[in-house]
Amino acid sequence: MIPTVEVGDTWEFVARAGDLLAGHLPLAPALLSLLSTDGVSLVAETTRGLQPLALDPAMCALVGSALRDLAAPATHLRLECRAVAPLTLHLLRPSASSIAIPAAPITTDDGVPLTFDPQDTARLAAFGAPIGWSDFRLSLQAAQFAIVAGFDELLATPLLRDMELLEHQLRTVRTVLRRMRGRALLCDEVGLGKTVEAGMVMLELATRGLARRTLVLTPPSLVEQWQGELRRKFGLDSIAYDDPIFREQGAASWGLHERIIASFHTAKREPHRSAILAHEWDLVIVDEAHHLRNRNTILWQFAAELRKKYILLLTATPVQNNMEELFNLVTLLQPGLLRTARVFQQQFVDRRDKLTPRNMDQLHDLLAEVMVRNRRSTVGLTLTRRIARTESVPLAPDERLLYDGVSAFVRRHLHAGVGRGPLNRMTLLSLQRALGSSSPAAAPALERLALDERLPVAERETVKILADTARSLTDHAKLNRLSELVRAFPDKLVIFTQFRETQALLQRRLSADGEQVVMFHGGLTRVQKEEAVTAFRGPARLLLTTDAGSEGRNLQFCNGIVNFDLPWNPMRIEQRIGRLSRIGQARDVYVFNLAAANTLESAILHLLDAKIAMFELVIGEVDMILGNLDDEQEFEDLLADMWASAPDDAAFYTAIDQLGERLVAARGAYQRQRAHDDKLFGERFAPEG
Amino acid sequence: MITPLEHFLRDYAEAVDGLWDEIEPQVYDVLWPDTEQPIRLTFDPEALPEHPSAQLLTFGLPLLAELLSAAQERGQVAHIYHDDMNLQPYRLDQQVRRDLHVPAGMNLELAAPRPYYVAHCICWFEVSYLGDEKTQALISAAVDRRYGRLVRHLEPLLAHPGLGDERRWAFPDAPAIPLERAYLIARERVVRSVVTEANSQQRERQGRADREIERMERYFADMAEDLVVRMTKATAKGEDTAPLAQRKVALGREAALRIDELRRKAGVRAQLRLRNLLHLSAPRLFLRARLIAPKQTPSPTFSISWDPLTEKTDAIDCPTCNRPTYTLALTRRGELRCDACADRA
Repeated sequence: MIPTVEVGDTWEFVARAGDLLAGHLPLAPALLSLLSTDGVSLVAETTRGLQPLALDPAMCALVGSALRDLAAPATHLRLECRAVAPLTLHLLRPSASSIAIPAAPITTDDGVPLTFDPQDTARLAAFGAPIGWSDFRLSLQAAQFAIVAGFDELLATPLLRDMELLEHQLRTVRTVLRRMRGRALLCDEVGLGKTVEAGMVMLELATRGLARRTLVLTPPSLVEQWQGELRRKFGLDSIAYDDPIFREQGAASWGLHERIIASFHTAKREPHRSAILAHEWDLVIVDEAHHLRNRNTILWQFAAELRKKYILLLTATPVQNNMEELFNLVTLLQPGLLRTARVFQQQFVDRRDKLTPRNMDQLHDLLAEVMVRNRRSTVGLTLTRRIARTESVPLAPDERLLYDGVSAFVRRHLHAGVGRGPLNRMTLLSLQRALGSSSPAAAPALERLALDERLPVAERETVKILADTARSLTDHAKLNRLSELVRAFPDKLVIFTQFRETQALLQRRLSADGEQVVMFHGGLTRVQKEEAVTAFRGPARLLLTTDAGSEGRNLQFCNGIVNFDLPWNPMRIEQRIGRLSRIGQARDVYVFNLAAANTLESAILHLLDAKIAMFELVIGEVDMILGNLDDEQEFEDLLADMWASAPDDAAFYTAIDQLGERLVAARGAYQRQRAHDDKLFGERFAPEG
Repeated sequence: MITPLEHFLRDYAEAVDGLWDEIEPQVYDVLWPDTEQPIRLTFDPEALPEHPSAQLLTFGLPLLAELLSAAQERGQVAHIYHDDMNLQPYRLDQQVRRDLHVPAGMNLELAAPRPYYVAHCICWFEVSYLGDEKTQALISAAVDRRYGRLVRHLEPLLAHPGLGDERRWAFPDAPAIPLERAYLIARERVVRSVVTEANSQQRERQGRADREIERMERYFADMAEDLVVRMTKATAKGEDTAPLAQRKVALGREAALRIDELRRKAGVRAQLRLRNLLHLSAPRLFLRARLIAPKQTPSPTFSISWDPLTEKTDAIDCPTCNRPTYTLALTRRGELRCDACADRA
């Protein structure tokens, strides 16, 4: 289309002062062509009158010293056609607009003052020369990133790694942030992802700059899991209270780090308590918050004294013995919501039964301001079955001799209770655990002890024989059984072991069997870990992994797991199974447990499998049951003590049976608890959409 | 998959004439201009142990805030041209006659179309709602500066690959309303949305604050009552009640403080400021027209425009009421008006 020129036509420019001062005004090539007409007259209207201008085709610009007269910090110019024959064009600065921009604030009907930035006028008048389109897009994108949007839209969902929030989790996070303003009691049934919900709240608040200093209080056994999950799923770095750097810095460390995960047993005690209370926290998360049900405890008082803006309490069992436990939890979130303890009892608790509520509708209305409870039945999720098979594998004769020899050695020295030195409790129990995995796993510890001159010569000789046996064994009964199992199972398998030496042993054997094996352990780099999972998703049939480093990985494309050895802590076992058996798994999960017959591990397996059918429970339920044991000790310490203090195996098995009965009772208590919770809360506390 | 933040880092590094190198997924070496050594940045905290010198680039940390600020400071105004459109529509005159309604018995006489660049501006306003928490939004409004009207069809065009910093054609620029007027039109539009949201937030917060204040007053009253009961019992037993009395006074002070805090947090304020401004020029076809009929004096010539972006004729502003109209009418004096104004004249 060939443009024509008429009198009155105008072209607008915003020129850079620098160009004008240099005496040129760049033109678009299209304009250059139009103006390159024979006889064209170009003038600038300046304070000195009309001054000539020229076209410079090489520069693609209008040129002339008169342009300097038109320069200003932000120059808006106009080229006007005054005549067409000959073509006469005038360049001038158009008169400034006389429109005033009202900047007075207004008040809305509901009394909200709305103010306008007085700088807008200045911005319109003197924005400066425009920037390029790509720079503008960058500037606009930065503006979009920088704003702090309302909680209707979660900013942090694109930052999630290797996972997607489920619908109920998204609703929970929005409800907690929007309606509950970051102070909430998360009471989802086990297995529905309270940790994920809390992690997402943390990430959202961090992304918006609303929560920088965060304290996560958990039972000691969950510190590492929290740290792993936050890092792996949410990209949030944190430091654990038992990290060497943290310990080295002493009490000052509570103020030096932004995101800290700590055992609440440690946090409530001095000197940590004072140090923690001295700081303000943007966000406090308490996992397993049923430890806060009693307000007469040091832990509750500590939690109440914490200076925090946002707080999340996570527990699947907010009430166990007494409705007042609910009052105590809610009062940490919103003091006064349920009034005082006395009034709460009068209004909401049946005098005859302190577990039975009164005025339930009114109580529910109040609880709905702070409580979210998702239930499996209402979120529409079904978890697939876990089908467990436990194999008690008789040891080969040499293996049996080694096992009995080392066990006797360990037990003898645990009885003696040396405490420190080379035969301290930790060393001995580690050795026993390694022995339960494989002889190569036990060999290094035995060899170190055999060379340790702090031991008497006779002891060292005994240990040396055991070490040599451990190194020289070639017939491994569990390994043979694993080999058969792998051949029989038609699909991919994740094989867990606690020890790198065992892992190496398994790899050699399974590779020799012709299997495609991928190794996974904490020593791999980040990229190597990704490659390992990719390989397992692809051609490799077997993933040989230790516990460290695999937490948070999505392995749900696989539905078979082998526990080649077993941690003594059932939570660790459950965490292993939980890599596969979780929301999102489409198939039933097969769990194969291998334990050598007549060993400590087989006793543990019997306890967990036969007594509480642990492997068929929904993820999280084991923890609930163990919580009902009402024991201060961690479960694995309890087991270790029982084994160490038993004079012989028979006494140990008797003690195991008694523990088994306690576990059965604990499971019963858990089931009654669930029924009570269902009756108390019903389906009222699902988060809104 | 490259995250939006990674895209941003790459674009920003290139925009400032820096260099970037993705040495492994989510780990970058970036060489800023005027520096000799690259810095290592990562978007993944899991990479930090393997790259101890790396800085984490994520929301909530100052490093990203600095980059975003620097990107915004590069400028907030741009002028682009959208030239990639059909300027020779098929049977333009028929389309125009179809879009406009003329008085019965009259015809619309159209001259040959002439293209002009029409200026638009798109204003992005940053809205902040401030109370005990701050939320923000970026709201845009686009204005056709030829007619001073709000338009909705421009923002989707911003993803068009044919946008450029330079005009492709030598078409003249159509007359435009002053930028300040366009800004006010855009601002008024945004203010309507802001007011609605601000009122909604205020009602919600006030309602919540009222409930919380009521609860707080009751809570402290309950505690005061408990103290009174204890003081009575203590008096009856001849015990010292001074500590309890002191506690009651302290309780009163605490109640006043908490309630005052709740009242202060209840209010909302809103702030509006212009964040970014984009001038967008696009060709439009203008036709001189007049209404003619046999044995009647033709109407004065007027201007019609056809927009290739919407493929529609623009409504004409009635000279009397200034409202846009597609229905043309003539007064008894032969002046062009909208239907309603022509009847009244």
